[in-house]
Amino acid sequence: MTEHATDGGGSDYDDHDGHHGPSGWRYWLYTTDHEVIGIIYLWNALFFFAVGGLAALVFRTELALSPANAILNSAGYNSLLTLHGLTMVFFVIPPLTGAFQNYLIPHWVGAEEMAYPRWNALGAWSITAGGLLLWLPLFTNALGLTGLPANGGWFQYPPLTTMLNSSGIDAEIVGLTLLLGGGSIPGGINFFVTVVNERRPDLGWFDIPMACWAIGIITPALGFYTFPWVVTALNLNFLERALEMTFYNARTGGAPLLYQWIWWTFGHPEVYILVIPGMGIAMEIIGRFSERPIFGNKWVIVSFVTLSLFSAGVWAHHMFTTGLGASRYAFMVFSMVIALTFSLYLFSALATMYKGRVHLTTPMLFSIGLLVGLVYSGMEGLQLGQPALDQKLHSTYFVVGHFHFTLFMVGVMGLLAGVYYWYPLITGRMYNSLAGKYHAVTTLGGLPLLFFLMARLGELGMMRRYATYTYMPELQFWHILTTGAAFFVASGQLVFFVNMLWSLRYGEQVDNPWEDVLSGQNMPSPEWDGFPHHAPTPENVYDDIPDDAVDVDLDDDSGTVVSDGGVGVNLGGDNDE
Amino acid sequence: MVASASISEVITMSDADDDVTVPDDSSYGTLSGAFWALVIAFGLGLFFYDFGVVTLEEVANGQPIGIIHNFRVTMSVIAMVGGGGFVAVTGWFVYRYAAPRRETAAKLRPGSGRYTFSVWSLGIAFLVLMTVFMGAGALAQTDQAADPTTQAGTDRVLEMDITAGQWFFRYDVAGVPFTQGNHVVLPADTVIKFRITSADVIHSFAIQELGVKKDAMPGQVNSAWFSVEGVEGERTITVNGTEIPADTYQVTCAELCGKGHSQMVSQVFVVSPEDYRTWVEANGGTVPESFEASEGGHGEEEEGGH
Repeated sequence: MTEHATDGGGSDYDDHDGHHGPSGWRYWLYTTDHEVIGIIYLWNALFFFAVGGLAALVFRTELALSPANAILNSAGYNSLLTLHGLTMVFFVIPPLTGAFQNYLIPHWVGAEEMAYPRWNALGAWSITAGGLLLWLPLFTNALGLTGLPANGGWFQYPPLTTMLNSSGIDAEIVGLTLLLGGGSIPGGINFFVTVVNERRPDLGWFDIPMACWAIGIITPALGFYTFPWVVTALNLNFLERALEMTFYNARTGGAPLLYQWIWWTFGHPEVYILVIPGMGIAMEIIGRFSERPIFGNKWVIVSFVTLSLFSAGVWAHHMFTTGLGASRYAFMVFSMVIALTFSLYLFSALATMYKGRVHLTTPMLFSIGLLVGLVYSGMEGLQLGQPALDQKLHSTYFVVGHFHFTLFMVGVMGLLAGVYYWYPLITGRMYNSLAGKYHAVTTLGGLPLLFFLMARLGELGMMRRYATYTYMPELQFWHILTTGAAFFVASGQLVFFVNMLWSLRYGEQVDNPWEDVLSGQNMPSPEWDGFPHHAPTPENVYDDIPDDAVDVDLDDDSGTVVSDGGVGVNLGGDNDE
Repeated sequence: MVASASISEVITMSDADDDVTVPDDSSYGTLSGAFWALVIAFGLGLFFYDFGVVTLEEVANGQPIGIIHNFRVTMSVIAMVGGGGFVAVTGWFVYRYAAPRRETAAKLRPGSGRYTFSVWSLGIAFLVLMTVFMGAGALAQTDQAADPTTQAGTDRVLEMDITAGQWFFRYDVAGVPFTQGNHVVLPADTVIKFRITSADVIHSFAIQELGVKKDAMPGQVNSAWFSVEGVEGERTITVNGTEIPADTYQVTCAELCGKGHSQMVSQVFVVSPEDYRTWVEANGGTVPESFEASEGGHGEEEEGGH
């Protein structure tokens, strides 16, 4: 990565300006080059992915060892749990998305640079700064210098977080404000403006790649709508803590529920900020590695747009047990309707693979894993979105299983697909394919194991965020299985990290490893093939075929017999053996 | 036709393994499709296990868990057919269309599959509509705004005030002269209406087995109800030297409330209405009128039960 960045993409921009950039650490710190900034995002995201994952392993081990406290005390457990959640939600998925946003958006839209390069550089370092503020209290607390790190859960409901005497919460609020105010909000504006304003004039809205639609337009737009809500919610809490103002404190006239309204107005669209990038990347990859144009190209975009709009109107389904009245009916209806827009996406993906020639490369496997994860998380989500069922399921491990499916097996899965797909583009080297396959087995096979076990634990009565379960010691058996599954998944992530680092140095040097698969398809991607570019729609992809040939109903697999089959029927209709 | 053949040729030729400089990430033999389909099938099996158990399992005899369970069974069947079907098809495609075995990709004709796509989407829309109506019905039945005595099949009502705090539940039951803490004794075949609030941070009163969950918010009073049918006598409690049969239901806190959160548990002992009266009177209290008045309705309730 470093090599390529310094003598490849990195210097390109500086050369245009006719001066030499600084070297050494100054190079990384002062850079405004979108590729280098993308790589800084990537390092940050991978670092925090490792840290957040290790935290999870610690408290999973704790849960398996004993129904009572084993390694950590309850406050320590709550701290690690909170740090794990905040890290994964704010410091892993958005920065990983940001890596692709930074690195690829200018390549996708044919721009030389981001619209606001300096703002962009600020965003990159705000991740590091915010993450350190989040995690440092853990170490200063261990040394006896400060209070506990943030330990009020990742959504930090007051009055608990207002009352906790823990300097970690203040540090965390400042850290998140830095990240969101300094990075995510301006970053989102930056990416959005770049796609809109810096796009090549010959590139129409529907010519930009699907992944660019998802991570360059939809995600940033949702981001700069959503993040101000959370900055507000958190900082009102900060003002309560620091200046004893009253917003959420019932004793002095505030309303604890107010926080939840603001928080979830952010919190639900946030989930879509975390999954839509992966969904876009997966759709892009599924099309290319099925050797087929994306089925219903515009319907996928419609799906992304409607997903974002609906996502902003379902938030109170996180609050069904707080004593809401008739509004539960409305929020239930909105929550159910979202299934429809997801199904547009899923059917398009499946129809794209249908009768295609599916190359089971590592990125493709992760993309397929995303489809599967989306179904699992959706099927659990359908139940959780029902206020009647929520009375049983809310705040149990069923919810934990559900959102881990959403965030890991959809959000992270799609981004990992992207990491594998674009790794050779970014580093100029190929990763080890066998190691990638191991990572895919542990992730595609291990995640359902881990998260369905969690859901099972929830059915059996395990409550969410319980440091101990002495009220029901028989759950230990299931906790041991779950921890085993967690270590299985973790082994794959370890291989992934080793693979990425090893290949950086020893990987085979390549220009475009997908050339063989993709070159015959007439489906160019701007980031690999440059410009001029045409969108991979059927009309463009097959434009060397005479019009009448397209309309001829060809008999079997060499032909165009898709129209009658569509999705999921006539599965074994053709015979090519 | 000719053009399409030439494209397939290009693909087939360029996909051959002769080009050693480009690592082929997908070449693990013709069985790789089957292998990855199996990996997907493994997850699908777990999915069916989880949702299947929900469909088959017995739940406690009471409300609102009865209403919740019936609705969950329907939702789980929809999930297994719809979601499970989708994943099965995905796995089948992975096996069926995997590259080493398959030589060409069928072309996607512009506008093809529109009809099928619309039909499938309309099918989903119909399912969504169904879940909306069923969900609204279930919510109306479980809601405290509904008439719980109809849902529970009994006229007997007992009111209770719960105060949650760090880290305890306190129960003030109508007619009982003292506050109960670690456990609370309640009658079966009775609608228990409770009001709940918090003394400090947000807590949540949950009885998983009965499908009850209501947040305890400081400065706000929430209410809900539940009922249990019959007593099996898993354990006994002692009243004036006699042992009476009781069932135990676990109470947990369902909102993170600080370091004692996971220790904030309590138990509900459910005894028969007759034994409950004995228990209350032995403790110097009197059962309230709402509980008293409906004694005559006991016979009806047997047949009206769920």
